[in-house]
Amino acid sequence: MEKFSPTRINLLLLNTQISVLKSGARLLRSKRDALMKDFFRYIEECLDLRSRLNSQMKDSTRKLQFARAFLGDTIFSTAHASKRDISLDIKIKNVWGINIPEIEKKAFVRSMDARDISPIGEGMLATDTAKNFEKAVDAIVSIALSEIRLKRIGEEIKADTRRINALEELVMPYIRDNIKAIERVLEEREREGIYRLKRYKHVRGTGYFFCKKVACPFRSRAGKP
Amino acid sequence: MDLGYLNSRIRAWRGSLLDKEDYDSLIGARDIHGMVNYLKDGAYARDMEISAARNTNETDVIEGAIKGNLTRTFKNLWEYAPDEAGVLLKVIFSVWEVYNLKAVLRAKSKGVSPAESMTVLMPSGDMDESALKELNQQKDIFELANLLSTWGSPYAKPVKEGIRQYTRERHLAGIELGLDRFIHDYCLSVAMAAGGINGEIIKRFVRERIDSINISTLIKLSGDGILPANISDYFLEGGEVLDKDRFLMLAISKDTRVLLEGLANAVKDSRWKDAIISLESENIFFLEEQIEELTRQNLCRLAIIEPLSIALAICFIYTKIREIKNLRVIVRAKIFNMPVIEMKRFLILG
Repeated sequence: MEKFSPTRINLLLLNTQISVLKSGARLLRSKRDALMKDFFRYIEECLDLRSRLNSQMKDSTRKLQFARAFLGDTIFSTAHASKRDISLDIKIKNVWGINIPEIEKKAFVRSMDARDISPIGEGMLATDTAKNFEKAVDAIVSIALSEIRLKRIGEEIKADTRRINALEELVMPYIRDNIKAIERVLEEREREGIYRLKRYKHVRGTGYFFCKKVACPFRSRAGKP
Repeated sequence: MDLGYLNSRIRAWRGSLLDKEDYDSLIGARDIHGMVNYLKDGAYARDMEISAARNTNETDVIEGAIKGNLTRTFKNLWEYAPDEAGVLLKVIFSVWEVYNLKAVLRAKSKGVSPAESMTVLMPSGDMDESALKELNQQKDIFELANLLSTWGSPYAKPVKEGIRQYTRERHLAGIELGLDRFIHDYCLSVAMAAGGINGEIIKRFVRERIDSINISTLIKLSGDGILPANISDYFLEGGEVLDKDRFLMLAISKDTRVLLEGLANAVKDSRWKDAIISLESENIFFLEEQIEELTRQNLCRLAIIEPLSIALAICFIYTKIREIKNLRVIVRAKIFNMPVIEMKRFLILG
């Protein structure tokens, strides 16, 4: 770390730095608290979505197995007919400086008209299974959005905690140590100055000066050797 | 129409259908391996061997054998039927013929490879394996329609009519709806033309099938948010239980429970009514199976009353299909460790 020369200007500089760091740490802590609040809110939402997805997948798989049992290979033909590309509109939203992707909500569950098959010859299980899996896709997209948001917020909380710790445990103590060291040196210097002044005053009062061998301006003034 | 030879063959084939003891052994099998071993010894032995040569996974072996057995049964029936009975049998096989056509059309429309789409086809009636291969190799839907015309197939007309709409909107639903409507009109006209007791039996069978499809369509449409203007497109004429007005009235009910109550009031047959009333909301799909079973039972009763009629053939086909479905349910139950009590709820053992 940087070494500071023990000057008054550095002391002032370090004092300013420490007050800036203190307010920075305070800001980071309040940001982390706000993120934590959001994090716990999203955790609930995420858990809710996850359990919804689990039950949806369980239901869909159960239906699919029944469809394979009662409809045989015809379910594959329904799957061929239901093939489609799904496009997602993803926008980036900035929350507390974090870039969170926002997926535009779309209805993935199609009506019978939109499925492009004739419902007349299709087994009830086939359309039911298709609908169930479309609901599962819906849940997957929702949970993807929610989990990405949760992950980003979690990462940000971790980064903020790291920053706060670095500030409070490393940078600020170091600067405080430096301030103390500079203060100590300055106090020492001040004491030396005072001592020097006192000595001078004493020497001046007694007329004796320790510099005997050199020409001393005080000597002539005092009028004594 | 002399169906004596065909019926005696069918009576012989009926002997190889699975009985209660077979089902008990299969249900009691510890796992899929146990099922494979049991099926290797019975009526499915030949199909199991063929399937085992093609597949390594035991589930696939059973699935392949089941499909192979059904295909062979259909083929035998078609081959042993005299020419005049072929027209009547076509009414029964028409469901699979239309299914095959739709599967090929879907594959062509969605760019599924011929090899992949071939695996989902079910050779039956006029559409045997070579015919399906030929259909499947066509480049697009237009060529497929031309091929059907060349063959003089009755399905060429509805496919060609639907193609105009397909060219405009690129939606297959129009062609599929056309085929579905055509096939039931065609079956009814065949039944009318046949006359006699066989004509009556076929007519009754087709009418029940139409009613069953209309009921199933209503359940599929309930709560689907479909436009009222489009609902009438999905109604099949010719049934006895539901007329068009009643169908439209029931189709707008948003709640499935309300719909089922309405259906229970509309249905006259007490057994159909019981099936509808006793439905569990999570297993509504089972109604289709129950109605199919009731139709099968009706036909099997008719086969006893009229032993020389076509009823025996239809009864046999539907009993075979039920057997196949039961086997598939047992296989799925074994894979997913479904409790026996739960499994038995979905088995229909006539």
